[in-house]
Amino acid sequence: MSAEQAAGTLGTGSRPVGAREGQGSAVMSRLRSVPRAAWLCALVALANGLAWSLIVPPFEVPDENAHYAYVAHVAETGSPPRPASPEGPLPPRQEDLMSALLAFGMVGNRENPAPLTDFQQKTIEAVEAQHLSATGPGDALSATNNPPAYYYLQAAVYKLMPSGRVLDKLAAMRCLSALMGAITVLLVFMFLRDLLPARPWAWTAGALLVAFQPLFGFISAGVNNDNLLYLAAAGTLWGVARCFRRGLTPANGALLGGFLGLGLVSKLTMLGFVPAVLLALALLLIRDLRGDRRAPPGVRGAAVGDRRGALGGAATALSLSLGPVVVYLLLNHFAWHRGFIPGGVGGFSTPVANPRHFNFSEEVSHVWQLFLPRLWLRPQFSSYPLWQTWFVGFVGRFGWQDYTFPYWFYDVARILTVAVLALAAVELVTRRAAVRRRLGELAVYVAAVLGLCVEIGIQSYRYLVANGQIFEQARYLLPLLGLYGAIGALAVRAGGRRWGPTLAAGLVILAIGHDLYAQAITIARYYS
Amino acid sequence: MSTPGGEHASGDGEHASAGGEHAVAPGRGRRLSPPAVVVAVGVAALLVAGVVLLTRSAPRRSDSNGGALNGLAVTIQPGQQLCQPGELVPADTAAIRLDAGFPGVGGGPALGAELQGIPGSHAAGRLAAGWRPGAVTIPLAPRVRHDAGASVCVRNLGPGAVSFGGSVPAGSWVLTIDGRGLGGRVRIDYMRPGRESWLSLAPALAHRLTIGKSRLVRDWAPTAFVLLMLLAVAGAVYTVLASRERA
Repeated sequence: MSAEQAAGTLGTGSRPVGAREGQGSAVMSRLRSVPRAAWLCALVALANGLAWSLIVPPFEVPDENAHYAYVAHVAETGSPPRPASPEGPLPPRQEDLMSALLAFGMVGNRENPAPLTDFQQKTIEAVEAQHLSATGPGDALSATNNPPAYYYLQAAVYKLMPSGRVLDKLAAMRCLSALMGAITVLLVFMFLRDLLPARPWAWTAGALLVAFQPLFGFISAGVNNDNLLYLAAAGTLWGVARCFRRGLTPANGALLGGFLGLGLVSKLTMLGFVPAVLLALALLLIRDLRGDRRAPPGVRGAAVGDRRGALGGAATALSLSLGPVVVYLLLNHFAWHRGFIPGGVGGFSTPVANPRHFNFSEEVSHVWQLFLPRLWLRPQFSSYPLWQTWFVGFVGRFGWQDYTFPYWFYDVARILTVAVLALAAVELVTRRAAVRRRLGELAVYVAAVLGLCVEIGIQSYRYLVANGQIFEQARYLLPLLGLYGAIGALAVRAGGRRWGPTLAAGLVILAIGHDLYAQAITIARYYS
Repeated sequence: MSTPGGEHASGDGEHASAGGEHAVAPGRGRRLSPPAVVVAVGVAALLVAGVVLLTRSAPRRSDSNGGALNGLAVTIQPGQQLCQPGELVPADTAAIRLDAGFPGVGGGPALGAELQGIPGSHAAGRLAAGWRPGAVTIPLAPRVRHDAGASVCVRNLGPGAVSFGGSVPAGSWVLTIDGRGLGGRVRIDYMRPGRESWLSLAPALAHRLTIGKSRLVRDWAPTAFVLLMLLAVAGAVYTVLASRERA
């Protein structure tokens, strides 16, 4: 039995897609072909995300107030909010409720708990019963300039909730976010399946590592467009792996372009993936236009080397990624009157009070130091972002960046991380022949990492110039969750067939413990 | 998506040997496999860690007034009394905790505290001189039985001045020192009696998890949280064991 068939006994229930089957049944058949292990991993992520949503108080996921306001604006008026100066205020229904929830006092102040008394509950209920206006004169604060895909999806949930109460709508919207988290994990599983074939338990381990990543669980619990971004990014990585492994067919191109397009109209952070996708398309076209039908090891499918199919695949990918963006820009300008790109891309202005001015070499240095050791460069940060922002943040900094694990925990995490990275490196070295054959594909994943980091770094520097503040948070790297899962999958593969499953079990247990501990400190933070 | 039933796995030069890899449902073998042993030991370790965490005792809050803490903001001299009106004192409060400091070295002055304006109750208490700067707890008796609005008053019983952590100004909040108004607010934590483990606090935590939630989830939020996490952990354990490879 093959590895994939083995995964199938966890259950694919798959059957070939017959030409005479209707499109609907073909879709169902393809859905049935998804291994049961993938569905189980998604179910685990859904349960975890929903659990997180029950313990994180309303509006305590970063910027949840702004994202809720955006959704409410879309649902109440039919269009996205326009930038206002000064920004805000929020609609009275939301603003007054947040005040009753003590949300403004909790944000950034780890000593302040959530409402704990029955008296406060009565106050909250009284505010909810007032049925204040759900629309306001202002914008949606920091969310205003975002593309609208996530918010339109959430607006459907908002409208479907018959209750006019903010808390009811927020709870339902959080469920949709958790569902997006579950789909993200499913897509990570599918990505690993195409990226690292022949070891089904490695796909499961990688996907479960993602499912129990506490920062991901925490963000999945809230209303935040990052959730659709993560989904789209995981889908894009899967599209890349699938095209490399099975050929750039129109269907695979649609998968790749569709997810990229979805990401671009969810959050502009997805622009960081564009160079990687363009590189992937270029490499795939070169491979397939050469007409080389001798599929290299690790590459499969009759589609590889199909010139016409490859051109069609590339065209489909490009049109499906560009199409939504073009529609979005036109709607912005002509229907919603928000300008083509609200807030611009990479634009900046220097306020009079800010002594910083834009300097390109300083920007390059800023981007470098945001992710890498400073070396001989002039210091750009008072702390060490690689550790403070990214590692500590990724291991766990929650709320509005206001509570963390005890410090020893990060030291333990560092040791474990080094061990996992070492195992992954061992696997890559062991399989160096395969790595050499797939250098092009590897370059695409490296380009995705670089693209995202540079995009975040440029935004960071320009925000610093414009506002004198640093805003980076580890969640900005979660579009790379697929690669995080891949590192975990590579690490457990290093154990070979004999010890790999044992390593996988150990890593997953560690991930569960990590997540449970994060939930424990969350309950302690807000409810004690 | 793929149709794996019709495909043969191959990749990286690896070919899964026919019949060499199976997904085996857990619990079919007589002996525990190494992954199952790891899972069993891991789950046991998590349970032990959970028990250690849950049985650790410490003073616990009944609530906080949510005031901002911008350093030692309000100072009173010996004999002076600071009163903070409009405080919501939660049920089960048996002490107040303040951030406090004093000029010079040695110990802090004696402090008296009382809750004014609670019908049928006059909770009061005293902290002896000699405390160290930082969080200080002034016990109150009798314990507050129900959520109540009150003025929280603290008197400096000397010797020496004392400063409390809070914020001056603090929006529309006004406190009084010997009856004279001052725009500001002292941060106060309300403490439950004695020391409690997380386990003994669990009923209170479960109730608190229902506050400020949607009516759709309110009553069952604590139960649902536990059940969802049990489902997540059980699902993960099953999946990781079931998808293991038989060597």
